Amino acid sequence: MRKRFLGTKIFRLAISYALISAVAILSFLPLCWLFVSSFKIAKEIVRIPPTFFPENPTIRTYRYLFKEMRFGRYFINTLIVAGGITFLIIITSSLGGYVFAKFDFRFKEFIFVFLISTMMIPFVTIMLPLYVMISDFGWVNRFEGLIVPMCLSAFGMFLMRQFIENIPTSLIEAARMDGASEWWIYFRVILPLALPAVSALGIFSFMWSWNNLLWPLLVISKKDMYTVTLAIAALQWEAGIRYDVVVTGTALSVLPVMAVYAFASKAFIRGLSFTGLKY
Amino acid sequence: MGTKYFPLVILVPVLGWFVIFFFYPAINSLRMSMYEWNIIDPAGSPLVGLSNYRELFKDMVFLTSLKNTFLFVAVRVLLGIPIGLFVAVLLERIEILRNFFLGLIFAPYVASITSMSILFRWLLQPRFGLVNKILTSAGLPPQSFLSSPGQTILAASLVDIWQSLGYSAVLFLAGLLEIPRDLSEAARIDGANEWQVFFKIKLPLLANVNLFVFVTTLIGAFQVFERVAMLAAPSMNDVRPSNYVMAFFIYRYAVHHMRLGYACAAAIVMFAIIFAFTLLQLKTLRRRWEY
Amino acid sequence: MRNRIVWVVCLIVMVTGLVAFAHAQTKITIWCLGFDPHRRGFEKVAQLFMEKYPEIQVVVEPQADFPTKLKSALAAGEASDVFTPRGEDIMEMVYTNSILPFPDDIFTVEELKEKCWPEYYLQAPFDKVYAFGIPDPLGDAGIVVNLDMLKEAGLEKPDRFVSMEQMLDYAKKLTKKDAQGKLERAGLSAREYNNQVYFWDFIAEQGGKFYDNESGLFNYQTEEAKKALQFFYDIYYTYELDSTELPASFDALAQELAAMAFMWGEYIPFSKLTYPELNFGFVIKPPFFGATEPIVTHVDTWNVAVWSGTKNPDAAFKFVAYMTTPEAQLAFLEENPGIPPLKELAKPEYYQDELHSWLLPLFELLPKTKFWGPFGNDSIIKDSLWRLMNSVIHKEISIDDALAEMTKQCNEAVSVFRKKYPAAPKPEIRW
Repeated sequence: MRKRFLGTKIFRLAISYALISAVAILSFLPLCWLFVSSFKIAKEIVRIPPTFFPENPTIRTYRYLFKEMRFGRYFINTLIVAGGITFLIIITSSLGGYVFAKFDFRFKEFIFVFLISTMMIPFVTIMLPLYVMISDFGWVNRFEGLIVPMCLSAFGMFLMRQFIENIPTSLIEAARMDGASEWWIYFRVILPLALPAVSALGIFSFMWSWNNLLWPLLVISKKDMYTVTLAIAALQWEAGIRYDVVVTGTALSVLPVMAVYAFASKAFIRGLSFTGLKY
Repeated sequence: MGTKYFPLVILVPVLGWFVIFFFYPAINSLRMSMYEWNIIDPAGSPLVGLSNYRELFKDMVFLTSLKNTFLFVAVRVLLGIPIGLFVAVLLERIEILRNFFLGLIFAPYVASITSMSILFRWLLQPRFGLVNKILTSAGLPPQSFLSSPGQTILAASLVDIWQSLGYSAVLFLAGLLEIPRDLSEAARIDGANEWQVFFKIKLPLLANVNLFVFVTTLIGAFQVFERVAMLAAPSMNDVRPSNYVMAFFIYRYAVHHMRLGYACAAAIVMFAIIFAFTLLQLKTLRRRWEY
Repeated sequence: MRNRIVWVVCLIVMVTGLVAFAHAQTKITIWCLGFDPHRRGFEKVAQLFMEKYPEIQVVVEPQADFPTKLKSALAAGEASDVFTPRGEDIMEMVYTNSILPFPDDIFTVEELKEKCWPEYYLQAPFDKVYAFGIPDPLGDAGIVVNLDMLKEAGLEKPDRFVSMEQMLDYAKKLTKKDAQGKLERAGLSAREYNNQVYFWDFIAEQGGKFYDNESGLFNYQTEEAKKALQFFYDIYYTYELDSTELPASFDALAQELAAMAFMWGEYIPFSKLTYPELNFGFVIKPPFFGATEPIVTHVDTWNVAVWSGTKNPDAAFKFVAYMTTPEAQLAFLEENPGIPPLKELAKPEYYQDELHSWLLPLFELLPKTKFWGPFGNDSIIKDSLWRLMNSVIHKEISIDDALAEMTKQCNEAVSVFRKKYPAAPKPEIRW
């Protein structure tokens, strides 16, 4: 009797839930700590062993962030930059991915490898020549300087290629035979079917451009053009790190990314059910 | 718009962009590696040919960074990817609350590397950190985590795996959910058990995603920087050379020591290594599946 | 008649236009550290300046990761009109023409030598002034102590430690060990990257020299250097006042895991901002074993300079000229406690409040400060020294090997600098 129970679906499902709950708690707990700690004074944040709930909750770090530093403005700046980059990356990567996945042309693999190799160049070494170029264009301290050099992604094209390859070519051929243009195929066939990959790419791009520090550090020098990560980095002084402001600033900056994640994961799930239905 | 010209229309601007914003600065970087480059006075930089490269391979600090980076990559890739796959498999099995759990697991990936590294630096503190407290109460010996370089790199790797679980889980999950149910159903009806279904049917169909996760994780792991720097010490100035990784070495020499030529040489070496590894992966793992 | 009226109107308009144009606001930008006391100091000075010169608008722009930002911006030709270089960077900036010399009517080198502390000339020994200092606490003057822990142990906080023995005695009484004999709280922590200047000072206090003016070379393989490095090792393994299992000085002080630490003076204003619940004090360090007087130096000054690519040199120099006045220095001092470059301002009357009073014991040492440098590539030299000291503390390298490496790396750094700038003056250290 026991052996049969162990083999049943319900038992195995229960184990799965138990395991995934453990993983989820372990994953989420530190993030909770981050949010909860934004209400602590610096002395309590650095205390070892770390406390979880604040002993004397205070909003004084929030007040510092919004009064002495104009955090709201930085939020908007970063939203514009991250949003712009994400949007452009999604479009260009899905187009590029489609081309690599479903078309054949000379030197295709060579060009592809060339693109992938750009991911291997450590940013630190191209950042200075890039910065000199941007400053020659007159894009310093401007949104163009932040967005344009970041708006294409070899990573994105790689991701989209892998997913679009899984879309049956027969669908595309059928559409072509019906006289559809490539752009129609892109918008009506490829994008919807690749929605899970597109939303995954969306959340990754948004997150990376939101958390990017090195590039805005070079391009921006005016306080009112700061991005959120730059503002937080400005608190890591030579004289010492203001942990309280770093923690609170990070907690705040996680919120929009989580919001985008919630939105993207809805699209992600919807997209997956598309592919499910097709079969 | 003809089907024939579509690739051209898309790829010409794309390649153009990459040439301007990546290739050109990268070539500049190669050029700089042949000089003793002076940031503030570029015109006055003396040409030194390959001497930067020769110096690199005699530099103990560089060789230590190479060793540390390889260790980090090995653990991160060989341990992290299977764990990510495992989590994705679990997520695929549960239908109710799947999105909720995925959200929780993905959450740390969204936080900055800096903030989580600071937190773990405190958690891994040898005397008072939570992790050692848990270990000792379970009867295990406390580890000196961040005092010995091997352990620091290992710890950094594990923290990185933890924080990036969401990344591989999401991608593997997408791949798993794309696999049509009837395939596995048919196999089960034919008498296959769960393991066989997984290894013979699902895993091969994940080849595309697998390749992607593998390659991107590898490339990312080679470029590890903040993770080790913030975990090893409270400030960049305190990171001991025994804890250096390649990207940190490059950053330090470029920005702090102002030897941009030397740093670029190290970057070229790093690039060559990553390129070789990635090419190897692409050649051996790449398979194309047509339905 | 109509024509004449039109003429007059046009003339008036033209004149008003010209006058307005002449009084149009010129704008200059200043880049400084994000450190609040610096930022507030500059904002205060800027405000006073703009009251004097309403036609000039001064915008203070604090920058994150200041060294990276400044060097990259100079490389790209995009810096601010005025910025704050560290003393050790001034020489290189002069040779690469990144900063402009002050016109004689603002400050001459003779005035610098006469009115300011010696480091401000010695850090950039040229025949023109290229940068002017801002108030800044000395980096190697003392020990930061936790006042509450002192009180708990029944100890009085002295203004200065008269001897190493006294300091070690305090440290022993402040050390806490747990039931297994493992260190729970460090009595004296020595893991902060300014500790290498203390190392230099200890060598000099014993009468040793780590640098030879004639040959222009470093040598750390001397008795004095060995004793000095040995001391740092002993803190951990002989006196057992700190352990590498405890966090490094900077964190340990805030986590209340260290009672005293060799630490920058800036830690005091920094901790007042970040950890107002903790009470830290500052004690002047003791002279090394066998020496009579401690040596303090100011090898890490902050200064203001004018960028060579500025489009508004007149306005920029007006601001810098204002920065050299006692009025501006005192305004800056109010926000950022430290020692101003002008000797006349080291007066107790300006240091009476809590934010400044901890600096008073420093005054009697100021006339005897020494200056180590400028070696060229100073920051790299200091970095190498600290890394090796840290490795010794972590038992990753023996003391003798470390001293040999220090010698090698320091000499390499200077030779790289001298190859780049053969005209650079060699330091004449007044031991």
